[in-house]
Amino acid sequence: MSTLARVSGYALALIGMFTGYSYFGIPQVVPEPPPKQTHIDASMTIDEFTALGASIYERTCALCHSGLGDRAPKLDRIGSLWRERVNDPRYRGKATTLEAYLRESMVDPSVYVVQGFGKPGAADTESPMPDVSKGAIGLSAAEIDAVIAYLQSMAGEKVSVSPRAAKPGVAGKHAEAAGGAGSAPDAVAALTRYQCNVCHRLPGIAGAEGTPALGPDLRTMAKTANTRAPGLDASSFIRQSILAPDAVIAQGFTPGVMPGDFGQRMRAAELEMIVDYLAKEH
Amino acid sequence: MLLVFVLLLVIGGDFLLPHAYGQSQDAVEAGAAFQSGAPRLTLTDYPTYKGINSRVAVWIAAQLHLFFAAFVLGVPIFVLVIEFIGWRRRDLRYDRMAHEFIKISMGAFALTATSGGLLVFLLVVLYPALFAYLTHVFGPVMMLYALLFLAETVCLYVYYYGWDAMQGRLKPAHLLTGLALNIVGTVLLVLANSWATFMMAPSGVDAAGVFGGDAWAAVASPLWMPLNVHRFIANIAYGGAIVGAYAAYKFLSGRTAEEKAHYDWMGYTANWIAVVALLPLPFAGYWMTKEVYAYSQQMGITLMGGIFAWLFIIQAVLIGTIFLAANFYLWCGMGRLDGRSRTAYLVKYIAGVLVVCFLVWFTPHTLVMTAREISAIGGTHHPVLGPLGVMSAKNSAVNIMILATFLTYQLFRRSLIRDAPPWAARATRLQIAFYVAAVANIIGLGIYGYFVPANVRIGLSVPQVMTTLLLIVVCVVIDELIAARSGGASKVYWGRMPRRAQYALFTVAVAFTWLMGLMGYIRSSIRQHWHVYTVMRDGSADAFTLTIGHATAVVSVCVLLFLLLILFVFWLAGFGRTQEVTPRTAAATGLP
Amino acid sequence: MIRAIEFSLFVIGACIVFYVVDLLFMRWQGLTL
Repeated sequence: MSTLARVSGYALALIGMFTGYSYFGIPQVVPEPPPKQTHIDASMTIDEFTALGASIYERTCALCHSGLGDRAPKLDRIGSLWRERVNDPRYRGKATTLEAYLRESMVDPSVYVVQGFGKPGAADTESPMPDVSKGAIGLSAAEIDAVIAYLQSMAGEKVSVSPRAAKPGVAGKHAEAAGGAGSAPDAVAALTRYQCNVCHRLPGIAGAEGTPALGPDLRTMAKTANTRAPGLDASSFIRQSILAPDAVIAQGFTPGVMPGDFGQRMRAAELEMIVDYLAKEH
Repeated sequence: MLLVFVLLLVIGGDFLLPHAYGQSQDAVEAGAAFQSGAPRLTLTDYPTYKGINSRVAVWIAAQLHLFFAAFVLGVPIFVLVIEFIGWRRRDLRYDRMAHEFIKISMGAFALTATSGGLLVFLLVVLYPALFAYLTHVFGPVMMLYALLFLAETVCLYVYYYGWDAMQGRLKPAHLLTGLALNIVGTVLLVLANSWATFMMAPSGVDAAGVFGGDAWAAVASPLWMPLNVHRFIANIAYGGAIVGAYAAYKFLSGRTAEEKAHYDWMGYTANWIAVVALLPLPFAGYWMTKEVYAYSQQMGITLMGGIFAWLFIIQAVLIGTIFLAANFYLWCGMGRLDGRSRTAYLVKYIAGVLVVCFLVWFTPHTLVMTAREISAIGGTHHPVLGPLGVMSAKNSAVNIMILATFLTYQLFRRSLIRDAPPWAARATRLQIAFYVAAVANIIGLGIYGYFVPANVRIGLSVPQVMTTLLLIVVCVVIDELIAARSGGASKVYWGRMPRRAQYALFTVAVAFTWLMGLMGYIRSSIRQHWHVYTVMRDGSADAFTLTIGHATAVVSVCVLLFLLLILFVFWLAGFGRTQEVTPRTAAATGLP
Repeated sequence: MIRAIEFSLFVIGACIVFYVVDLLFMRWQGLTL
């Protein structure tokens, strides 16, 4: 065989190996599609507004504020932490309410930098977080309010903002229409997306009354979940039931009915939202 | 032909592109179009043609242009250096080798221009609105760029065709021509870089995209200098790798011992250039990533912790391949010397170290996982291997790989020395002590990194790099002192190389090309759905980010096309007198 | 024996050199080791 053939064959094999590895050795993550644009106006309910805030948060803020690594502080305890921060001698802002603190943190993050999260070399006086109303994030005032609504509701505080009447045609860059390929904005949306309500009675969601349930009634999970499997607390049991449904079968129901692929289909965030939701008293 | 192309570009541009600085009513209107910033584009702003995927077409044209441009910019740099060395040492063999190197790349110049022209026309036809905006900002820069090609052409043709005529007294003039060629080439590189970095990190425009009129501000994006440094060095390495592949090919197809000796020597030199230039590249990459993070945390995290994180695992595989192949070539090269070297037993340990470091570098950390995967491994990171996936471990690994590679090279060089001075043994023990301390320092800093905040941990990478560099400097200085005061050098039997060693050179060239394609894809794609990040949104149907498999398939197509074309270039280089001179094995070794 | 001591001294000396390098280049970035 001529040198040319041998060398070409070798080069092709090598390229084939790299390509093959990229296809079969690496998980084929499907990236989020570019965000669509929608309206925010006064006809939205507070729940829709909060859900919109959640979807913006998932898409935009969760990249850093998810608790993975130490890129940005987690925001789950902001309801109790904000007062400490406002009273901290390092605080340079003007907020006196949670809503004002949240808004300030979003548009002027360097006003107060949580210890350890500042830009290197600036002793926590400069935040690496951008002003969310500008640049790549570019949230409109209404979208910022939606995120505030979400954060307030997540912190268990009263939602103090409401959807403003926006000028017609002014769309938020990051508001996503429900049902897009992104993560469901809250537990109810997630439960609906994965059609849990088709088989189970669920708290807070209207079921198909009168039809025989294909799966156990889940409205009282909060009370019973921690006794169903030895060694598993309520959350762990609920999680197991979703990821490995046949591990524990409720009395009167049959194995092999509930789909076993929610682990593949669900986002991690959606799973956790559902677990938390079902484990709560309703 | 280049002249015609340049003229076409200038005249054609006049018709196709809006005048940013003209006086006609059309010009005023066109100029006014950008007065409120970058246009908001919708699907209808993008002409589409059946059977052509606009994004892929532009991608392939751009990538081919980058492959060829890197090659033709990198080669003249080391050609000039080799010619200069030949002139200073009064050794004609270097002069002849430099001449042969540049001959190999001549056919590539036309292909660089062709692919560049193709890229421009595809952009104008398929992305007219984007190109109009870019010319609005960079008009004068682009015109300068086009005119500089005239200068490049003149310098190149005089440098190449005048080589034999400009010997003797005219040699300094020839060297100056080569210097001019490299200066013009570098200016072309940095000008073109500014358009790419503007799209990633726009400067000189406000948040809406309104251009302030200062061309320099638009050029000086925060990512501009890191990209300049990275591409300048990478071009040298790439040029060496491709020329090395040429030498390997000619070695394998050589029929006489003389031919084989000649191309073996050429392959060794080319590989040396490629590896030496490869060593600082990780740090140029770190600088670039640091600037990306500094410019936009969001972009930085998309790059390293988001959807592109897996691509860096593929990068690790490729770089591991390059390091292993380059080292393998050097190990085989020890066979060119008489007798079994005293230090040959170290090779298997070096190989082991390289493999371990590669595996550390290869370990992923922050990944996008499904709920089941998170549940299966008990958290978002692997309980055992997770800690290895962070910067601390990876930076340590890469520094150790570089040290191991340098050690391989050093062992080869030292085996050549005969009749070393009596103090050489102590000097060698000092060098070994430095190696021990360097490795301890690098690993120590790496472990320390786990116990400090993120910004300190990232900062530790600088002393790690400096440790590696200092060790290399210390060892090179001591080696040169020993060599200068030793009795002589061993005989090097150029040509005495196994065939499989030449495949190591092909591996370096192919892996390097593929790696460039992959990295270029990443750099471009972190813009995601923006033409110009945060300023001009991509409104086309292709605004989405591809999955890894699809993206790498396109990269592979680019690499295949490039290899086909470069085979054509090699074939052209084979016409006329191919080899210039064979190095005499009994005389000076002819090593750099 | 002497060789071992000499070698140890070399290693210690080299470690000191690298420690100085560490300090210098962390200070240069405005960080502390």
